Amino acid sequence: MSDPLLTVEDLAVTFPDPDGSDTRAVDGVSLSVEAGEIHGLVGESGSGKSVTARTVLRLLDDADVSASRLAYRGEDLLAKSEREMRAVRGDEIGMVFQDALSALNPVMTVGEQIAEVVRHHGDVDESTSLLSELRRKYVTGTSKSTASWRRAVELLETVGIPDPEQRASEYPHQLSGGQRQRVMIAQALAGDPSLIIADEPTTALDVTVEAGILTELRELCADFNVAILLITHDLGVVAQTCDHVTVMYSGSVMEHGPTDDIFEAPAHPYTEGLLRSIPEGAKRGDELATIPGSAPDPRDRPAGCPFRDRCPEATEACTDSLPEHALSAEHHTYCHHRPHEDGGRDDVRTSPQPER
Amino acid sequence: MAEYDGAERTLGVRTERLRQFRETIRGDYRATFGLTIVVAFVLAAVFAPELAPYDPMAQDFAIMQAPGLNAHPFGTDSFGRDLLSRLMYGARISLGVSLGAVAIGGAVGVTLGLVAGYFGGWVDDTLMRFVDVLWAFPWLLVAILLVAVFGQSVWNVVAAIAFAYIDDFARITRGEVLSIREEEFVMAARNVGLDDTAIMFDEVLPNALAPIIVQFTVLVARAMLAESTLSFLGIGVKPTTPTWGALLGQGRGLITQAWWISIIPGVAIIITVLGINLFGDALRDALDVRERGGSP
Repeated sequence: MSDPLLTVEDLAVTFPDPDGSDTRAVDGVSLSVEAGEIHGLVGESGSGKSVTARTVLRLLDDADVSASRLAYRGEDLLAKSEREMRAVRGDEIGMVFQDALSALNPVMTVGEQIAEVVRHHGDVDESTSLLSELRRKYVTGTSKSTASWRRAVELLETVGIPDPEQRASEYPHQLSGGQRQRVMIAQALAGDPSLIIADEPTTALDVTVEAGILTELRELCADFNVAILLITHDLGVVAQTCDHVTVMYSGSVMEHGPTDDIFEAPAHPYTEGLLRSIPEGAKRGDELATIPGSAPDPRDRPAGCPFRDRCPEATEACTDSLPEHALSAEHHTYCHHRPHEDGGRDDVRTSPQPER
Repeated sequence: MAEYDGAERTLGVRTERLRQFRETIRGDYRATFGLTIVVAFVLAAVFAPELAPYDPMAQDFAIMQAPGLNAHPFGTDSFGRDLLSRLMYGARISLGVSLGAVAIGGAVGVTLGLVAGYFGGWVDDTLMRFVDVLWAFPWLLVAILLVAVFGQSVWNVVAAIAFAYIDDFARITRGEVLSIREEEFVMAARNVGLDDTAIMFDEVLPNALAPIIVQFTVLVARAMLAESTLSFLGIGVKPTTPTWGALLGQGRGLITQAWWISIIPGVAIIITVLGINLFGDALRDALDVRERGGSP
């Protein structure tokens, strides 16, 4: 616990707008990912999950980033040059995107794309000079007898692609959606990272394929001791997969803690609302629970708690900046009313239902 | 998409690529036709000394401006030189100059456009203004300047034509790159730690190749005509050297008495240009893996 793999403290990301209404996509987010764990980052669309993840890899060129701490293995990521960041990306932190079809190069075979990463990370003794890469890309292709190609095939096998020798010579459009996602994971693994950021890796897939991919991620986590920061809007995915969860809403963290604690005893009205919205055991004709209203415009966010316009418990106090309450060593919530003054967590669970 | 059988499953990427290429060439009449023409003309040019029935410079005043005969299938010119032999030797200059000039202009232009489009901002502005300047230059003046300074030579012709085509390639490449660099796979490539050079040449350029290839074939055709223009104006290669453009120019005044002197080199140019264009079209389709489609 003493030295987390990834530490983000008080991260703020703003996209400047020449017309004056800057978009504050992320506002005061803190989270930490321990080595070897799966950490869920949950939130609805526009809550700043992906921006947070991409900021960690410094992939956003046009954003103003500030943080009191953004550290990987204790090294400050914001202080690194672009060249130093290249060594971090892939080698230390891999990334899996939501839409594998657009995140894979359509004119290169998948084996070629993985082999290239293997070569660039220097795991094999093959030239990566511009000329030799050009020759491979435009003339010969990567020879099947090279170490980088064999490693690519091996990685495809690791992520559970059947017949990897054959698949390696195919193009992304020739693979199924689930296989493409596995290729992305193989590519992320090619640099032997300690952390993989998976940005909605299963959103574009159907449920059975999704289950396969999630199982794969859990196994990788166990087999290779890779930590995974899993970005999702699906609480079902979180419940199945994650050790810890951070719940985001409109650019801020609402609550974070161990998955079990969050699901057993949610301590923030927003988390409660989310959990209540899961259509578990609903019968046809039942009205599904929702949270009334919609998320605030990130260009014009009210001061204080961003959830207060939709919160059943909101009071005047909610316009003040968010306080942090520790419910346990790991379980923290950011709400003016939680925990209730007169009781502990039990009281939270019996709090009155919001009017619909 | 190609069908795979057991034996082919063990093939490597390299042979796989060659196989696809062969298949495309065989299955596409444009490719077969275009490639046959181009290869035939290139062979005729390369082996001109062995194949040509006469010395292209040998004059025979007994048969000046003779039409096609058994001894001279394409007839003779006004000095009694064998037209077929001159065409074959002329192909060496015409094909060499046009392919060489477009290759050089293409290499420079594509690199400029790639760098400008990929980096954007002031790099883009600077490079593209430079390209605008190139574009604003009348290339004929450049050719005349080169000849005036360095004298008449094949290399100056190549340089002048290459110079004229840099801006075409730069613009087309930049336009493609501008849209490709926004694709997610480019960010994914940054994400696995590739540097800008690797992303530009390994990830972006292969996706921009289709229009560049088309441009290449179109410009090879134009370069052949440009070489003719320069020869016609007398600032091309040395006047006695046979090139297709020069042959055409020499026959121009005699079109009513001896049409074959100008028409036959003209037809040679047309057929070559047609062959290159057809092959280019087929090549573009063969290289574009997305065009081939396929089922997941």
